[in-house]
Amino acid sequence: MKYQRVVVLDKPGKKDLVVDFGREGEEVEVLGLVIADQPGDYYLKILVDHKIGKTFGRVMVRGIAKNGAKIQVEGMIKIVKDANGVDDFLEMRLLLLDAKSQAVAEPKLEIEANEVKASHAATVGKIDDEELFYLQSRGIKQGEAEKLIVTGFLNQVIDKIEDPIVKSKLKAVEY
Amino acid sequence: MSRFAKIVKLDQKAVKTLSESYQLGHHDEITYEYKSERGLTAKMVADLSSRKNEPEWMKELRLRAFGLYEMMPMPGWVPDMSGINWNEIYYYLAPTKGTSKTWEEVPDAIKKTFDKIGVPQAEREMLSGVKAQYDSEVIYGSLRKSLSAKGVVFLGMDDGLAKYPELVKEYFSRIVPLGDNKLAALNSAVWSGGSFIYVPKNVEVELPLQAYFRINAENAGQFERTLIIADEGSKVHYVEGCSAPAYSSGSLHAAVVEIIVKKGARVQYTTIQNWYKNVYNLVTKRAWVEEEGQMRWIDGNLGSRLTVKYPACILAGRKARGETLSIAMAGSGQHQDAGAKMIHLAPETTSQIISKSISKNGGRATYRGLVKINKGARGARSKVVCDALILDPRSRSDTYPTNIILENEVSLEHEATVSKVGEDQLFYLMSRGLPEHEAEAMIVNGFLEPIMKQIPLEYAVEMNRLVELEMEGSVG
Amino acid sequence: MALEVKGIKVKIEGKEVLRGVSLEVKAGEVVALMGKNGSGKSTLAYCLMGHPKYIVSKDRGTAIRLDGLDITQKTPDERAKAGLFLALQYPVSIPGVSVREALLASLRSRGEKISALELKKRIEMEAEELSMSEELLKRSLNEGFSGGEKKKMEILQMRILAPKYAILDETDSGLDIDALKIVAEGASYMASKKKTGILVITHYQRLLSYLKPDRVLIMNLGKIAKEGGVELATELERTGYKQYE
Repeated sequence: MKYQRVVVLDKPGKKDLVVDFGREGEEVEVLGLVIADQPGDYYLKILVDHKIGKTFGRVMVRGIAKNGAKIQVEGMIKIVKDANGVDDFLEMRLLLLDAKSQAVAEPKLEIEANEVKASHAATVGKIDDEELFYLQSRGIKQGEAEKLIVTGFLNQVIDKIEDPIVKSKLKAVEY
Repeated sequence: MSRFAKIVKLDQKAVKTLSESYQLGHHDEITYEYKSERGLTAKMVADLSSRKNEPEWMKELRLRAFGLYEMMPMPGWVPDMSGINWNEIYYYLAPTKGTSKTWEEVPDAIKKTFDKIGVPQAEREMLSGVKAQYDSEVIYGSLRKSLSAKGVVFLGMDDGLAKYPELVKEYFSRIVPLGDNKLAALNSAVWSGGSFIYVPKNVEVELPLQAYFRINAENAGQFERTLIIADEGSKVHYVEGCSAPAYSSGSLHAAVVEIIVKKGARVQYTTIQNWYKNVYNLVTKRAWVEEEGQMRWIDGNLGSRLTVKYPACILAGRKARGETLSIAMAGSGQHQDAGAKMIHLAPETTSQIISKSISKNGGRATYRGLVKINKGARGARSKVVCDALILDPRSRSDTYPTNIILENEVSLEHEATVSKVGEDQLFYLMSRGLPEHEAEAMIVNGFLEPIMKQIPLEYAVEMNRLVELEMEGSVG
Repeated sequence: MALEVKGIKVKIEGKEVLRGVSLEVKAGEVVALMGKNGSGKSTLAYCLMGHPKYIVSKDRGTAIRLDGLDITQKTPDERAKAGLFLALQYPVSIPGVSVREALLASLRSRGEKISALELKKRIEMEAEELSMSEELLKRSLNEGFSGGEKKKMEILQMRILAPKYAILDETDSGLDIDALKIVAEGASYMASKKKTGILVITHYQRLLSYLKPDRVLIMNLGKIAKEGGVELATELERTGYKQYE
């Protein structure tokens, strides 16, 4: 049983997502997007709670912040004692697009079972200079190049969205 | 449980006897010059300062700290310390001149551990609290001569205060302010013992300076205060602790370590902590790093019932670099709550945190970290790697990192993995003839290797053996 | 003096993968075990070495004996001590542990008193014979090694541990001709000079041109389907495995 949860935070505020599992063999993919382009606090909290063994999770979050936005992403993977055979990976990547924006990244783990695989990764930074240079060297202006890079960055998550309506809505936005 | 090996039964009787005889030691007739009644008062603090003949400013500082200690609550984010009854703890306020315990009274299990690790006799006696003085006149004498020829100061903290009051006054509690947290306040009020080190400009101290080389090593260092000042361009490596189990009569250790790394200086501070399993080990360690300075904390946490320690670096000058390499091993009844803090205040500062933890037999290993990159710290880079091994179903591992980024021209990377020892790796080594527990110990040591290789060889060898010892008890 | 394997039956997740395999490898003999993918060759190799994932059914006729010693219930390290070696198809990497440390521990655990320095010299000598770069010896075991380097590392370990019987599981996969020759020579030497019995598992005839088998066994669907001399291997090259299905 495989299913997907999508959470998009595009206005200041808070969104809290809890993922749990009904039975063994369930697989959940969580896709999170934070599009913070206004001043304000954006807080995304995700909890993947493995109370049952042999369940699988994949969490991918991409966030961008500009215009004085402040984003905070907290992602927690929890595996209780008897939930063996769990495999989970959480990844959050946040891009700060200007000097006014800020980010707090908190990837957390609470693991009480040992026959498991759990890992997480988080990065926070600005647009890679190398990527920018590469596009500019192909004749693309800086502003355009940045848009391309940001779109590509967010598409890493958007492209995986299964719901066609949600997907097309997000793809239509200009970042 | 293991499918490979036979079950190894824990020798229940030996464990019980050990804890009984330990209780005995706790209430034993250890002569102290001055033993406080339960609880702590301002008068005791003032008296302590007077007996030590301290300058007035230090007495005032202690009293201010005491006031803060009384007022402050325990910090919100630390693990449950409700097991400590603050009024019941004896605050040993004066150093012992000698104890009435003998080597024979030290529990067998502890003696055996010393044997296995190969700790020299003199060290054993000192570590088990039998001798308060390390009889190292000869070694220490020549060490001091060569150091002082270079202008290096290496004294006990009390001596340091007496001989270099101006220097101490300039830095004492500047890096860890009195009100930083409740435990630091306590330490500032009742501190005793610890090391004072000053390294002059451009002097490189080749030999690692070791805590037990200090003459008059005070009893068990419950409230040790260490201050290290590395002047511009200097280099020094300080090693604290020992991998042999430290048998302590005090159950609360609240130490503070302050380090100043001036421009271009390089300091490494290595701690291998293996306090006996009743100790609450709560330490505040912080380094202030100036331009192009480098600070490296190596933190090995093997013992104690609860250790709470987050060696921190404040990267205050351009291109300052901070590193914390931390190993935590949590066995039965233990909680290692360790990690690091890196605060980037200046541009082009870099930090690295590597944390490797192992939990087994129901132990709990927690990584708690903070990386904060302030506005203005352009070009800052930070990388955090935390790997955890959970060896059995009863144990637990947590990772609580907080990364606060207030500047955009930076890069932060963080990764963490939790796993168990791979069955295929075990099979591979066993197929080459290693019995299961040896194979597991080898894999665990391999897991710790990236950090071990940064520790001076003799300690690394001892630590490896200690890990193997700890592993022996883990099968079954 | 032989490695005797009788009636090995193994089920994986309810499915029978080995359905009663019997074979024998005498001291100093080279026996080739061939079969297409999925025939159960590697499963057999793991079973013989005692990998916990493969549970061998305890039938009356089931037995693995090494020079008369029953090792059917023994753990992998006990089988290693008895003189069995398995060169894995996919050697795992052990971070932070060098080949020297691993071999030192293996030798010492069976009571051999060898100094670290002596072992270092022997390892370097073997590495040179196998045309392996010395740099590989300093790294963590198998970490970042290419497929060929991993296989050579297995042979190096085999030469130092000097087992009585060695199983080479698809040691030829991932090797170029030069490496193949070297590996084959290493194994031949063990068989002829040290009287090591070798069970070489492969599904290409190529290796067998350099490591000449005394007998060839063909495995299919979890059982030995045919046994013959070296000409069986050449025939296989022409006709493929279809006729044994």
